[in-house]
Amino acid sequence: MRGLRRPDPPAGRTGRPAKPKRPLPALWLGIGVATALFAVIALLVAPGEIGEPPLPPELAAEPDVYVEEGRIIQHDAQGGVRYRLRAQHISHFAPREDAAGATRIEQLEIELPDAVAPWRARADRGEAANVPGQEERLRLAGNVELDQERTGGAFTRVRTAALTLLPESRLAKTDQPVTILTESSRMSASGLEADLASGRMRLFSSKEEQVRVVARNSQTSTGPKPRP
Amino acid sequence: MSHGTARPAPGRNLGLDPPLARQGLPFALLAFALLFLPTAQALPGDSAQELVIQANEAVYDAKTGVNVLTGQVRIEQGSLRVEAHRVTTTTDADDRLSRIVAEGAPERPATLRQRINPGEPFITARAARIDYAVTDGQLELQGEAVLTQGEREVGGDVVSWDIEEGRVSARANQPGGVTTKWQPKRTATAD
Repeated sequence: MRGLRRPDPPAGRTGRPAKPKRPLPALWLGIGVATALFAVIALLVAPGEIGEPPLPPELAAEPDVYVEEGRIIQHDAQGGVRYRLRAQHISHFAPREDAAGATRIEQLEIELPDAVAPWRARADRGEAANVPGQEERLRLAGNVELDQERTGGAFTRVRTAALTLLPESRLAKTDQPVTILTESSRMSASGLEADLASGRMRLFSSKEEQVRVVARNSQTSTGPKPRP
Repeated sequence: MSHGTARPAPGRNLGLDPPLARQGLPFALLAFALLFLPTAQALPGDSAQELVIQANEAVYDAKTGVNVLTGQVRIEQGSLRVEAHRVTTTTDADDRLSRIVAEGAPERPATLRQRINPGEPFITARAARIDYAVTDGQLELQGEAVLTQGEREVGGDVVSWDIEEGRVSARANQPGGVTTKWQPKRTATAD
């Protein structure tokens, strides 16, 4: 008994059955061209990762961006100026496996706008730590000055060897000996935390140094008047 | 006038010798005045000295000029010494130090000491709060206040001292709350 069977393929000229169709060579060609194009684009977009050999060890610590006589204006989410920074040298260091990224600044002046009068900080050196998810911190060092000159001759001048500035929250702090000059007094302490927005400064003492305030006008304003 | 005796607390039976009289005033809020310091004058150079405040901590308000100092606060200017737990200083419109308020801690009143004239004993004061209007030369002691110079003493709830005029007044919130002690000068007698 004959069962059903698959029909024979059509016979060719030779009488043999025809082979199944192969993919077109043009398709392979297209895939090849697309792959090459992607590789070229990838090389252009990320040359350091794909196209460039790793830096030699002696250059790994070098900045990837270097600016001379630079100015930076950073804005807040509302478009207002958060700070203006001027510096002689700005060096940016990309994050590496063994170190976080950082921006190092030399001979800098930073201005923080304020409702009363701007605060201005100057320092020999500064470093901005680029830590994702954290507020930017500027660590200033070397002859640090933080001043506010208000109308009417009132002023506040902070002098210390190192100061951490948080421009967004308008905070400044140091655990180094600090001197604060005002129109009416000269203060010294072993540390300081300042809320620049409110103008309030907390001065700390240590075992070695107490908070000390010298009234600048004390020679004329205190004590009973001499009698003739 | 003899010097150096311990200062009794106001309102107590002093148990002193007859020359030391104790006077309780009968009415609340009754004020009196006496020339406590008839020749009041700071030591030469006191007011020319710099005024220095030392403390454990300070909070300075750059916008108002108010400075709050806490923790073993000590003020010095020439012979003037003030010790307190908390001191608040204020500046006037000309940015001059205009007011010093010294507050004591519980069981530890604020104290002040100053020599007014060379050769005379120190004036000492203690109270829960010492309010010194620097530019006006007015000093007010509030809360169990006692002002002493040698054997002379004035106590009350509030004792006011006009430094320039050398005038002291005291008042109390209840009858008998003001106390004074006065020892007259002894006169030599010939046998």
